[in-house]
Amino acid sequence: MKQLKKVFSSVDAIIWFILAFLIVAMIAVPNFATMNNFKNILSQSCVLLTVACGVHFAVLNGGVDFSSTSIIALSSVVGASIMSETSGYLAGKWYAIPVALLAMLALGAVFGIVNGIAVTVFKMPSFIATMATQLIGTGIAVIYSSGKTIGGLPDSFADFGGGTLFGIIPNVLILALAVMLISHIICSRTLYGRRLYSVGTNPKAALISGIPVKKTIFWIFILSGLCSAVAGIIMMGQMQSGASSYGATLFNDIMGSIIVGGTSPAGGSGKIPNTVLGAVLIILINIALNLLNTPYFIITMIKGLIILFAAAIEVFRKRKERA
Amino acid sequence: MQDQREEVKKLTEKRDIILQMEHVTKSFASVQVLKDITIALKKGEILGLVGENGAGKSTLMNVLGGIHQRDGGKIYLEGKEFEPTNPKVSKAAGIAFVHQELNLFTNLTVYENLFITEMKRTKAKTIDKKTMKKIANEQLKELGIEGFDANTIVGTLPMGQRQLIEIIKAIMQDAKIIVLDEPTTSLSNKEKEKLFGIMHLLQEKGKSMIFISHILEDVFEHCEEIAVLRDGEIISQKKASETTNAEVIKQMVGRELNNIYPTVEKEIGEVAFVAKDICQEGRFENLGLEIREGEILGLFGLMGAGRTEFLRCLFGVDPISEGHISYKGQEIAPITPINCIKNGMAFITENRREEGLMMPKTIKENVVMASLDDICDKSFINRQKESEHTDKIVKELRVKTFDPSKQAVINLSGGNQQKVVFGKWVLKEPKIFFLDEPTRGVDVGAKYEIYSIINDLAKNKSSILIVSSEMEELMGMCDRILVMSHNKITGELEKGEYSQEGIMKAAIATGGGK
Repeated sequence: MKQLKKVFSSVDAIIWFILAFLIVAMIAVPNFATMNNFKNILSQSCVLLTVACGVHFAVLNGGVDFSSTSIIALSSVVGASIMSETSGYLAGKWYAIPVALLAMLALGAVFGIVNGIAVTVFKMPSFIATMATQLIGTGIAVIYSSGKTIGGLPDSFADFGGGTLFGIIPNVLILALAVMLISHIICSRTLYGRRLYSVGTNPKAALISGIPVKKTIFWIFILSGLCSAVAGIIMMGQMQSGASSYGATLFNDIMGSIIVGGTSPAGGSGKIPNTVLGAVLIILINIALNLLNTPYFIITMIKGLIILFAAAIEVFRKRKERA
Repeated sequence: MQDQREEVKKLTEKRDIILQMEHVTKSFASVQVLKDITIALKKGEILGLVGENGAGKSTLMNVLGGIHQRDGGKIYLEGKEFEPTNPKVSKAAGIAFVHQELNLFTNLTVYENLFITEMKRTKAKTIDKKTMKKIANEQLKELGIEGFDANTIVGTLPMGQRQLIEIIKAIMQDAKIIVLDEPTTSLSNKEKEKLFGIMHLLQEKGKSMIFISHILEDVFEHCEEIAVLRDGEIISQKKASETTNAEVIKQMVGRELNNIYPTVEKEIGEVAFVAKDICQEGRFENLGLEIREGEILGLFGLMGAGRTEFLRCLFGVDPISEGHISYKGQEIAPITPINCIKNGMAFITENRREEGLMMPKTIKENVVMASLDDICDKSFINRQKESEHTDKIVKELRVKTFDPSKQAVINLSGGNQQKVVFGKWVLKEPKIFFLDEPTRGVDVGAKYEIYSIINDLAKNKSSILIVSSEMEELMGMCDRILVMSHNKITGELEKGEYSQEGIMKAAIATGGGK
């Protein structure tokens, strides 16, 4: 019994929350417990999961990365404009796909570098710096694509992006899981991860302990930018196109995933697996309410309440730890 | 007849007493900080409260101020039982505090600070600046304070005048009892006289005061009665005229000095660490010092003398405009924390919560914090090494914990927290160790252990620099003491020539170089 209790208390609250939600949804929501819906859940999770892992790094430092959503949009239009068979710069070339993908990743890194310089060199709060780059990025994406959706992607890429493994698992989910795994290893097992948690918990103590604080913070935004670029690749694969509107409404869900996963917005604590579970919960809510034909703004209200609830739990837990 | 007379005498005496504490006790976790406090404050008198750091003065005042709840005993205010359950209750009862660390908003004006809790409003519910300024200026005039007025920004004033603002704040609360917690530490002699003048002025108006101070001369000169606090007990309360300086010191210390400060046999070698021509714009000009191998060097100075700031410059935490540091002839450049640590330096800052520890993290995470490079194989954490290092430190420094990989530092006592900060650096076996107030907020028992750790490091040929505002601590621990005043080094004393007067004289010197 004691051991059972130990197992229960070691598992984070979010898992119970997800299980409870699943049970209720399976009973109350028609068509929820179907194979088709399961596939739907998996494929819808991919983008959110990937980009949330990236922003997770920024939140660990008590910051945020608003530019993530615009990186998805911009990288998708840039990637599509390179590889598209109908209008692409490298249409028909054998190296069109790898060049396009590399360009997308490079774009993510460039945004990360700009954000990183703004935060570490010019000492801007990440809130301001990434909001600015988000606005700039979105603007560029719209101008670059003339506001149009760029389609006609090469078959091999489209097949990968839309295809599944064993008919259930979307190919792109593997990409998302890889991002998740790498992020988790960085956070929990590496020197960089330790430095990041230290800087996020107490930057003054970290500086005096010989941790390269600025370098650590700088790399946050590169990691986040790269994750967003991968999310852009996934989005482009799933939608079979690039458009400046991609990711535009995603930011609330990203922060929702991270907060619901128990990561403190003040920085210093929070695990990648919990953020992933947070993303899963957000997707489950989206899908269940959609199946119930809930109007969009009711869905946002409910998600708002859940985030409030999760944040409240976090506050109470902290208070309990202090006492 | 005789009995009756005694009774009457007792009663009149009681009537004179405004505040009475009887057998007050208080523990934190398992440490009993206040053991038996019985103390009385008479109306219109100044009671001097003296005791070593860590004797329980602050805790006692926090109990009176409603910040901590006492465990036992009784408090009477004007003869009635008084329950300070929270700070508001104490404030309403007319008890005001002037703290050592000022609670002023330096970016605001004098009058805004004075009215910060209860801004006057006009009929339209907007802030009534005019009335507030008028009242503030009247108060300043009444107390004969010159040199600034209600509109002055507090940040532009010297420490001494800021202290006066705190006192005015207390008076404006219509306080009957004003507790002054080491108000003179950062004041010049002239400012001190001004402060004492105002205290006596208030006394004439019938206010009672508790004056906490380390400077016995001041206490004897300005207090009617003196209470001595030691290890959580009031050892004596006597009229100032009925006791002597020597008796009070004996009561304060209560044991031989060599019991507080452990000794160790060690060898002091050649000069190892040299700092030269350290300049910081607007503060330091060509400051320097030398520390020998195995030497414990003390750096004394009053608050605001620049000792902490100097240390921070030497470790590259604060920027300098010029300067060199070297270890055994080899220059350490550039002066950054990372580079300093690489060259065997370590630094315990004065504020462990803010700059030393990650409070919500475990002991293990804190201990290895400065040694992350050492516990990593390539870029990956070696968890076994991490645990081994931590266990070694926990054992060596006797950190009291149930599990270093589970217990968060925030749940440790002050002494154990400080041991974790020490552990973080001891793990790196530092060659040069800077300690800024290494025993601040640490109980008496843990203090001894920390002194032993410092001695062991010196024995292993580390060069150690201790900054402390406790003169006795430096006299007990150090082989040599440097004294700073007004951002300059104003004195140097070898072990044989230590005296409180000598150190203090240098500490209040206005400078003029070494």
